[in-house]
Amino acid sequence: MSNNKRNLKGVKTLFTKINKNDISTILTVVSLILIVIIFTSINPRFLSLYNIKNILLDCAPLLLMTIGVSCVLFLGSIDLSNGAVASCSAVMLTIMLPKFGAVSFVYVFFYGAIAGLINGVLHTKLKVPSFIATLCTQSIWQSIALLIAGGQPLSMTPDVWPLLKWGKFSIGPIPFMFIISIIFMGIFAVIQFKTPTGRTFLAIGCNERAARLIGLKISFSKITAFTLSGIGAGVAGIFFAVKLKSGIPTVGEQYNLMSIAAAVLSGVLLTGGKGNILLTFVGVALITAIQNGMNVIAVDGFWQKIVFGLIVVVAIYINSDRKNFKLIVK
Amino acid sequence: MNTQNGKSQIALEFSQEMERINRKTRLINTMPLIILFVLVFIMSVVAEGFFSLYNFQTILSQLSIMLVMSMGLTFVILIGSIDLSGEGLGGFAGAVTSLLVLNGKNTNNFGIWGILFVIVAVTLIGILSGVIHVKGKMPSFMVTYSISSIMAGFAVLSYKGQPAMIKYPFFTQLSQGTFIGIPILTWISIIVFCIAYILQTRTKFGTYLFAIGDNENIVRNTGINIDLVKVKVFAWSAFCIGLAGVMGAVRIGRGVVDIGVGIVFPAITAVVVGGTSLSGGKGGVVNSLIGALIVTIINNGLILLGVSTYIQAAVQGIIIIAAVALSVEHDRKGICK
Repeated sequence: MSNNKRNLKGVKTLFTKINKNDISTILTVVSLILIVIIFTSINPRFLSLYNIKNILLDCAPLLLMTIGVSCVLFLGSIDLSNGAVASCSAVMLTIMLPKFGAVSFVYVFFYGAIAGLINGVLHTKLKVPSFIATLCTQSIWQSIALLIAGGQPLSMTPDVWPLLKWGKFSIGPIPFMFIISIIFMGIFAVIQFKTPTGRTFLAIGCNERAARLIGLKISFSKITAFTLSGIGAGVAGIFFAVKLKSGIPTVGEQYNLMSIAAAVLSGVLLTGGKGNILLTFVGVALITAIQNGMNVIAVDGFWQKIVFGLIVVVAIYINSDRKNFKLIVK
Repeated sequence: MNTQNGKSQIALEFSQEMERINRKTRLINTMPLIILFVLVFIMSVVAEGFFSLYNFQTILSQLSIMLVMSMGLTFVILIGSIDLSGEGLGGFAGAVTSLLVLNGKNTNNFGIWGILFVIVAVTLIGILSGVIHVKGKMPSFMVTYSISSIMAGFAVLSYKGQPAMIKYPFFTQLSQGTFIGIPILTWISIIVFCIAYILQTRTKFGTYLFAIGDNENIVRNTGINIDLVKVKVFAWSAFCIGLAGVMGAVRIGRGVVDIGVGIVFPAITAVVVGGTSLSGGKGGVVNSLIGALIVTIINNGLILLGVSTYIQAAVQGIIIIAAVALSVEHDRKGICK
C-alpha cells in the first residue's frame, strides 16, 4: 500500500519535473503535429513532396538565425539586430558578387562575424544593456543596407547566376541550403556542449556572479555568443540573396522576431540559463510550418505578423517563472 | 593630540571627496544643456539658414511628435522598463483614426469622437501590455516588441492595403494652423509636457516612479502596490503613443501604418540623451525635453546640410550608444544583461 503510494508520488514528481523543465518543448512538438494535421486536412498538398522541399528551404535561413540568437539568449541577453544584419549582408552580397566573384561569400560571412563582434564589444566593454546596444546597431545596419542599396531592391545580373546555382541543388526532397544550415547547427552544438566557452554561455545565464567567481572568462564568452549570432545572421543573409537572386534591403526585418519566437518555443528561457541548440530545430519547424501552412491555405499576409506576435507572447508566458515573488522583471 | 589631527584629516579628505562627487554629478546633470547650446552654436555656423524664424518654426513642428512620444517613454524608462510598442501601436492609432473621421474610403464621420475612441482603445492596449508584463513576469521590452508586431498587423488589416485619405477639415486646420507663431501640434505637445511635469513633480505617482526605478524591493516592502503603478505607467505611455499616432495622421493626411515607423527610436534617443538613465530612477521629463530638442536640432541640421535621411537613424543609434555608455560607466561591478 505504502509502496504503491510511493510509486504514485514518484510518478507525480516525474511529471512535475517534466512540467517545469520541458513543458514548452513538449507543447511545441504537440502543436507541430497538430498544425501539420490541421493544414493537411484543409489542403492535402501541404504534405506533398514539393511542399516539404519548400518548407525545408524556408527553414534554412530561419534556423541559422535562431541558432545564432539562441547563443545570446542563453546568456540572458538579447540580439535585436540579426534581422538588419541579414538584410545588410544580402545587399552586400548582391553588390559584391559581380566585382569579386565567389570570394564575396567569404567576405559577407566575415561581415556577419564582425557585426556580431561589434555587438558583443559594445555590450561587454561599454556596459551597454544588450537590448539597447543591438537596437542601435539594428538601426545602423538597416540604414547602411538602405543606403548602399539606394533604398530599393537590387537584382543580380545574369552573369553571376552560375555562382548562385548551388542554391537550387537538392538531394531528393532535401535542399542543399538546408543541409548547410544543419551543418552549422552541428558546429554550434559542438561549441555549446564541447568547448569551455560554449558551456560558459549557460553558466552566465544561470548566475553570472558565480560564474565570474569560479574564474570563467565572462567577457570572452559573451563576445563569442554575439559573434555566433552575427555569423548566423550573415549566412542567413547570403541564403536570402541566393534564393531570391536579389538583395532586398528589408528582407530580414521580420525574421528577428521570428527567430526569437522559434528559440523561445524550443524551450530557451529569456532570462537565460536554459536551452539546447539542437532543440531549436523544433521551434523553427513549427514557425516555418505555420508560415508555410498559412500560405498554402491562403491566409492574408498581414495575419502572419499578428500570429507571430501572439506566439511570442504565449511562448514566453508559458516559460516565465511566475511563482518567484522576489524576482524583479524590468 | 595626534589622533585628533588624524581624525580631522580624514574628515577633510572625506568632505573633499564628497565635494568632488557632487561636482561630477552636477556636471553630468547640466551636460545635456551644455550640449544643446554647443549644438545650436555649431549648427548656426555650419548650416546655412539654421538661424531663421522659418527654421525655428520647422524645428518646433518637427519636435512635436517626438516630444509627445518621449513624455510617455520617460516614465517607462524611469521605472527601469522600456516600451518598444510605439511603432505598431502608433501606426495602428493613425490608421484607425483615418478610417473613423471623414475620409475618402468609407462613410464614417465620427469627428472628434473617432479620435477619442482611438486614444482610449490604444490606452487599453497599453494597460493590457502592462498587465501581461506585471502578472506574467515577462520582460517589458519583449512584451511591447510583440505587441508592436501584432498591432502593426491589425493596422494594415484595418485598411486592407489601401490607405484612406483624410478629408476631415479639422485635421487640415490642425496641421497648418499656428497660434502666436507656434504650430498647433507643438502646442498639443507642450500641453502633454505640462501634464507629465505635474504628474512627475506634484503627485505621489511621480514619486513612486523614481523610487521603483531606484530600488524596487524597498518600495515593495513599504506596501506600495508596485504592479498598479507599473500598469499605470504603461497606460500613460500608450496614451502618449496614441496621441502621437493621431498627430502623425494629422500631419501626413493618410492613414498608413508607416506613421509609426521610426517614431520610437528618436524618442528613446531623446530620453537617453537628456540624461534619464536606462536602469531607472534618474532623470525626468525636463531632461527629456532637452533631449528632444537636441535630437530635433541634429536631425534638422543634417537635413539642412543635405545628408541622406537614411543616415539620420544611424546617427541616432551611435548617439544612444555613446550616451548610455557614458552614463553607466561608474558602476562597473553591476551585471548588465
